[in-house]
Amino acid sequence: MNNKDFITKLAQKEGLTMRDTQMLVNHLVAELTSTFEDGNILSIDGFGQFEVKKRLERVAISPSTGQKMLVPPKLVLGFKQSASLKERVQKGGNS
Amino acid sequence: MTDTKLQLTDLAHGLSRRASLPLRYSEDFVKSFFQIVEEGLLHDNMVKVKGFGTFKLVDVNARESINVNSGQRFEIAGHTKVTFTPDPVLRDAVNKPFVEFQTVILNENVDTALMEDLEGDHLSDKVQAEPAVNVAEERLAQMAESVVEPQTETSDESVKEEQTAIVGELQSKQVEEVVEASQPVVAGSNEDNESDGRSETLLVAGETSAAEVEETVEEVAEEVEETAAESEVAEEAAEEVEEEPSDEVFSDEELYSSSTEEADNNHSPSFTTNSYTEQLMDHHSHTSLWILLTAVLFTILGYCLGYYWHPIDLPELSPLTSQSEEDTTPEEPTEVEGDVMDSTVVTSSQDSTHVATSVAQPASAVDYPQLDGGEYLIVGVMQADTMTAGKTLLNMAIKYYGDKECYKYICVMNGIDNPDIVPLNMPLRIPKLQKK
Repeated sequence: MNNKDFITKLAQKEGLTMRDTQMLVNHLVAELTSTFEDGNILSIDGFGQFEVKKRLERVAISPSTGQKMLVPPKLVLGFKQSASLKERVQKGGNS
Repeated sequence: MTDTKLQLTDLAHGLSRRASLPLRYSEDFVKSFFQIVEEGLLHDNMVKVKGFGTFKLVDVNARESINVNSGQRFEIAGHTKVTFTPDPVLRDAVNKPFVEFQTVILNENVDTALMEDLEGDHLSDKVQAEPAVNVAEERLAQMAESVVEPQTETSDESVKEEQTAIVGELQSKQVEEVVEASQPVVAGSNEDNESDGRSETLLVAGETSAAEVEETVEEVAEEVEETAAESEVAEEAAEEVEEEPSDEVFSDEELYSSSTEEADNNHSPSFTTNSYTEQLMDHHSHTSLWILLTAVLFTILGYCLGYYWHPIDLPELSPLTSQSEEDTTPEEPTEVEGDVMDSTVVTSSQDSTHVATSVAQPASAVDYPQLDGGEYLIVGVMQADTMTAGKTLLNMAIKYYGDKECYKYICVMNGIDNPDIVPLNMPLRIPKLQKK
């Protein structure tokens, strides 16, 4: 499901035009981004938890060239599914 | 970073402020947002939201794990999980504080050092092979200049092989000088027997007096006589070979003179042959070393003689030896016996001089600790090295000798008891090895 499909579905569900929906989604994404930029943890009940974590620097070896590289520390946004979502996904996957 | 845990309502508050929407409506919208994401996941396992990221369903295979508390093994059942990959825009936004950090390519010198080690292997191989060639060349130059050419033409690696091959030739030469065997077939068997006998007599020579040596040589000569007498061809070729003895004696004399010249040229002119033989007898423990050196000497002598007599047939050693044996076969049964035996006795005594003079450098093996039961002798210091970080005795051994087992010699040379514990920056002497 790509962005277009997603917007279409969301528009249907909310009874809005796709344009308005897209605009709202953009607002939401901007809000999410600012939330994560601040390093906040976002927990959505029944869906999962977004969390920004710091990855420490590490030495990696390029598989192709064999060169050793120092990979700098970075902040990454991680997502952990909630237990209820896991169950629902499991059922959906099985059915 | 505030690390505050926000809920859906907080998100809805933010959205309502941004989009100037009623809070209730925005909350509903956020809920719908995640519901649609879930629906999309269930529908086709993947949802992409522009500017936010991609949710995917990923199958996780069952795996075995161990309960940390009880230590029991249990299986984590296979399941599907939701993964989220942030959109590059979001990813960069999140990583903004660390954006100035770049991936640095590290430790180029380590890579090059490894390369150098590999190159060093080839170099050390050459360095290792050169001394043998040099020694051979020096001696050969003293004996006969013409012989140097074929010797140098051979590649470094093949020199050793050639030498061993020459040992075979040498032994057959000894057979000529002492025995003069008959047919090639018989000669083949004789070669082995008589080479053994030869080494035995040499062994005895190290431990007994000169007179006893003569006796044993005579015994060997007698034994050989019998074998020669059995051969039918002996009498047939008798006439042909009558010329040979003179050549042989001449060559022996030549060799003797050259050996004495060597002795004179060397640093210890005061040492006579007898003193060397006495030294020989004193060092019973190193008898085997002397025998080895003698064998090497005979190798080169035999090579020179063979080249003189049969310069064209030289590369083909086996036909040469059998042919020459046929030629010289009848020598013994005839009156030449005495001369031959004398010459052999002389050569055996020459051996000691040769051994003592020409092999002055390897004799320094006594000065260094030796590895018990090892295949090589430590005869000097090839190179100095230092144990730095990243080096091991094993890869040093591979670097210098091409054989990791040779680390033992480095240990012995430097008095290292435990090869696993070598102090950092410890100076190491890399021993120069010579095959026993």
